[in-house]
Amino acid sequence: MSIEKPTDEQLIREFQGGSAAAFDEIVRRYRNPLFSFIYRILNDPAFTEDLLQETFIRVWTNRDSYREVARFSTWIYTIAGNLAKSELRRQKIRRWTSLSGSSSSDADERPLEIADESSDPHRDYERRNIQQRVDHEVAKLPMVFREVIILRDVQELSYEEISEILKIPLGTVKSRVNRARLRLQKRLKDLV
Amino acid sequence: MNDCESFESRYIDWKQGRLNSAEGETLARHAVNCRHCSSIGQGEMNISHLLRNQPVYRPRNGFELRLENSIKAVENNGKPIRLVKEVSLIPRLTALGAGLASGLAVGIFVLTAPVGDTGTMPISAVAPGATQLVADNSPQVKEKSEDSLFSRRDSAAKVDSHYLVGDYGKVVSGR
Repeated sequence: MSIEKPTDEQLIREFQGGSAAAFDEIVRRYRNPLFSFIYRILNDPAFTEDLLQETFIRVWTNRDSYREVARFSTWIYTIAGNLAKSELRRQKIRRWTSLSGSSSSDADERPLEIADESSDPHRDYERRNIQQRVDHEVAKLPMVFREVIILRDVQELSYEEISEILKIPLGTVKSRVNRARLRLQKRLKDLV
Repeated sequence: MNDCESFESRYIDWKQGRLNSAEGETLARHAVNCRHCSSIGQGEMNISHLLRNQPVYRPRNGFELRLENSIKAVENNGKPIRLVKEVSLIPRLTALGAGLASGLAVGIFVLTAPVGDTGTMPISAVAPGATQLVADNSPQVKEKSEDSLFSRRDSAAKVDSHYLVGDYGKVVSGR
């Protein structure tokens, strides 16, 4: 007999009822996807971890404001996305007002940890090279294209969810995804 | 999963002939009726495939513990524990604003101040007699002042030419 995994909505309901274990499960489920999402927007591991932490703190403190009219994933991605965009704006101001123009984080130089690393170092090396190229090109996209392509093709969210998270019409999401793919296709033609 | 997502996820299999005919027909029918999917080409789907196969990153070990401590810190003093030390933007922006304001003030002063402006000192203190010229703009006074200026300039020129002639004379006489 298989035990069905509780849905996200069931977990948040349990958490609203006072279950800390339900919150732990939410953290376990969303920790890696949200870290990847925020990192691909910000490109800074230390800030990414801070924002990931901030996202979960907001879920913890605002748990009662979640209503089941939207999916839980939509809610948590909206929080993370808004935090990431605010941080990007702050970083722009910081760069503009800083004489040195450097980032304040010391943790930037640490290599990123990959959730599903294989035991084949050669394969991992190749993967890392491709991954760095792809991340670099995605980071160069304008924000309107970057966020939709990350949510659709990296995070594999549905068009409807993306439309709810970004609060833009479904047609706009689809056309932005297509345009983002076309741009990336030009820049990464040697990889595809 | 709606039709567009289903189309995208099975597109590559379809193009590589890995779907049965019924599934292929369903996708083809959708592509005919959907503007978004009909515009998708092999290249875009390859990009989509490449991105889907990108690794999932994860935070450093011990994230859960750090999060727990941070939540405790928020509940105790309202502030989470951060990896990156936040440097407040207020002092930087204040300094930048002050710099811009003083630059602007100096710029305005330089552009608007008349040549020879004496600032807050009374003009008479700097150039005796000038007060009258500024106050009285009648043609006679103007003429008088211009005359006096010219005469001063002439006398200076006379002195200079005298000097020059004298010097020249000396040189000439020396030859």
